[in-house]
Amino acid sequence: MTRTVLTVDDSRTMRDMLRMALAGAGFNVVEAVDGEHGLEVLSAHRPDVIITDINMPKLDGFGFIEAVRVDDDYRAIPILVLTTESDPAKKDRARRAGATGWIVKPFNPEKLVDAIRRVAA
Amino acid sequence: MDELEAIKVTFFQECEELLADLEGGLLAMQDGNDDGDTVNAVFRAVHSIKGGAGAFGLEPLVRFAHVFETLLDAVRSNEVPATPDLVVTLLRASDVLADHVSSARGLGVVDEAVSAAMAAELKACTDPNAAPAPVAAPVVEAVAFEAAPVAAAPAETLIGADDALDDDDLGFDFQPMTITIDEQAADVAAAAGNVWTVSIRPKSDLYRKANETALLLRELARLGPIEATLDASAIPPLDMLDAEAAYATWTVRLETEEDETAIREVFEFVDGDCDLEITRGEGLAPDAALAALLAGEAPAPVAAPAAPEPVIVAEAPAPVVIEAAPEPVAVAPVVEAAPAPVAAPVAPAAPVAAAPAAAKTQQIDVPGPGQSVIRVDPERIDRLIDLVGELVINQAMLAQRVGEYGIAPSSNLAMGLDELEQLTREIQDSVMAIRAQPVKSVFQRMPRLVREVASMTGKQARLVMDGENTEVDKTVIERLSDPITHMLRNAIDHGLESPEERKAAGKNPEGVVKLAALHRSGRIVIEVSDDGKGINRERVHSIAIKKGLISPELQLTDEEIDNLIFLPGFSTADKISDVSGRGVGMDVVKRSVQALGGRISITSRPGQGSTFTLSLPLTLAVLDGMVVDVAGETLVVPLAAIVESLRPKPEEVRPLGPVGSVLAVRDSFVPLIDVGLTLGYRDSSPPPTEGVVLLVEGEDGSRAALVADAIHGQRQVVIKSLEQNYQQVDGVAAATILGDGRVALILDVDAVISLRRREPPRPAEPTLIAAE
Repeated sequence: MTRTVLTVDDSRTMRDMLRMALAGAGFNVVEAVDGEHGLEVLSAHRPDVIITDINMPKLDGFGFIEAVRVDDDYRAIPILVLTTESDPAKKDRARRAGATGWIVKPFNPEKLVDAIRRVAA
Repeated sequence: MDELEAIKVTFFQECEELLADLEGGLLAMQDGNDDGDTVNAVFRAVHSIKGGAGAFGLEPLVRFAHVFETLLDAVRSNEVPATPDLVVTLLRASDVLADHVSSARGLGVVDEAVSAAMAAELKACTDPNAAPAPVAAPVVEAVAFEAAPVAAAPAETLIGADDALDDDDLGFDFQPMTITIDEQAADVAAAAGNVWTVSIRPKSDLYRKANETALLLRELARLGPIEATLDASAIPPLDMLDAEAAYATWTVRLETEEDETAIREVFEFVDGDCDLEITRGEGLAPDAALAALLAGEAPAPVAAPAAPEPVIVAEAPAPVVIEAAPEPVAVAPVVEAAPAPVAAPVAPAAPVAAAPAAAKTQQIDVPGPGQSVIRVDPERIDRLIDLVGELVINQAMLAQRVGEYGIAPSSNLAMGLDELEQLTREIQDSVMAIRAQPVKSVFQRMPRLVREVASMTGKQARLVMDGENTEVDKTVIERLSDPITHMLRNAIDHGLESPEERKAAGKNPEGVVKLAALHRSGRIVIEVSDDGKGINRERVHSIAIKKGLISPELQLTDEEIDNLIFLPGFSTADKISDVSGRGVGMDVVKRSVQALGGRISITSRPGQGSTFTLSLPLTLAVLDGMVVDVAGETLVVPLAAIVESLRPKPEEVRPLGPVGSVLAVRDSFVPLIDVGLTLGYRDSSPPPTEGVVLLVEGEDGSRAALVADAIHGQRQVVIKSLEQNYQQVDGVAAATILGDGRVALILDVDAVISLRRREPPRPAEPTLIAAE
């Protein structure tokens, strides 16, 4: 069964990178440009895994994760956050918000697929 | 272009947008127009540039963006106050960042010294107490961002991922390996003593974050054969069960060649969300281990440490089911799963809500919800515009042929042709609209310029922009920047007074410079106005006389005096400043504007300011021209250069020298140029009175009277480059194809004037020199 991954990132470049890596690994990819948009796409596609950036306009990654986690329909969906090596504080805050795991940028396709495997049923 | 290269192209496009956002945000901060989110947007812009640059291994860009981002992060968390001085620094840093982006793109080089100094300055702003260490710091950063490997072999790694998919279904399924390797590995591992005991006691937080014990066990099973035992003794009776709580404890016997680090890595995501014990060897017997655990914490409502029933997980991944289960209790995993969010009602999404949202995601690739944008290689559009040009010509030819057959205009054929013509025009307009862009991209660069010029000249200036979204063809946009830059510099340097002078005149010490764009009768009009002192006409007049540009006796209107500043060699500033350029006056602006088929004019009111008005055609792909006959050849003279056309009377033509002659036009003499002679179509000129004269003005403002045999009328023509298709020819700017299919040359008015001048030496610039 093809798994669907929702990527939420305001950077087109990053969305394209994620799409390339994920589509190359056989995932179905849906995208959103910020947290608000992410919540809309979420209800339409019911992804198996969510990958989200932190810094985004409208609704940032923390807010997005919190919103997913308080929704009974979606709170079981694993969420991976994109972080950088240089910012452990952000990673911790994302975890407190309910992030399942994280991907350190810059990532390569193996790292990405590996992280998804670790959280996806 | 492979996929990664395509994304890189996207990245640089995005960088352009982000840099614009960055500057826009910083300017808003400077003007005090920022809302709470502006600083966040500014931060995000730099952050996104850094993120993308990291993905492509663009080290210098990443390093600089990182330093920049760090300061912006401190600003947005209010650790560093956003003082006006700081914003100025940030604006300069955005400049350097733009240079880094260009350099990464292969367009130009970054001045390393400038970049290092800027980085050091940013660091000093971030932490004023830190000792400046501009050299050492970047090295540290370089270590922190090991992006290179990603960029080095991305294509290969991707292929690898593809293979993984084909071969073993994403690596999720490792079933085939179990039986054989299991026993051998177990023997070997056991013999080597590579047996680990892992005790996992999840907390409810683990499930709250959508982690799963079963997945952890699956991950452990990737390291080697495992035997997992569930202690369900802590699970309370059903009526006391908290669905959100976690009660179970797992003990796993793992045989692996891997070390403890690899085992711990499995639990990276659940660090702190479960009690984890990893011990080497068989460890304690499950019973004993659990007993110890329970004794230590005794949280279980069922106090009696009843001998727990070992449970073998029959969970999905096959390798977990290794040894025969002593006493399989199938219920246990279900109970264990109950508190986990997975068990939460996962009803199919409400169909009503899903439907419209599904439609929306069809265009999920768009940069923002609601606005859809297609990115197209400009070359394709240029090709399309060329083709439409051919279509226009072809259509005109067809119409002419049909006309030659004497078909009545009311006939079906003629009417069909009319419709075709309309359609063709519409297609042409639509295609040109594709390439049209808002002038914003040029305007965006101006606030910085105004700031810099103001600070260099000691003026206070505020830039007000209007009509940034006015659209104009890309070919024109690219060439708007220089004239606007020059006019703005001029407005601040020469137009605005110093703050002291302004105060003395009862004005706000801060001058206002306005830059506006608008469409007017098929052209784009750019206005640059200031609220400065206006043109000092007396001084302009006397300078023009002193420099010999005009005759002292000449009576000029105010408007004519104002326009003297466009004369070559005119400079009103007493001292030539760095800002407006050395000896480069408004004549240069006028020339470059005219080269685009445009016109420039000025209006001024003493004490209240001046307005420069620039008008340009909306495109450079087509041209309004006058079609004329010269010695049997058809030529097109650009309409923008033509002042008027007239039939000279014999008394207006006066000989000058052995061969030349001049034409008296109102109060001045203009050299008569026979186009046919200049281009070598004929050896001797017929009397000018037999032909038609086009009074033209060159880019430098010099006038000439071009003699042609007949005028056919005005027409819009599609410009075809002569250089691309043939070679450059003196006196000819380009070519076009007329309705009858003939090629007509487009006259280069300036070249014709200067060609003529080269023959007999004559005083330059006869313009505005008064007749006696």
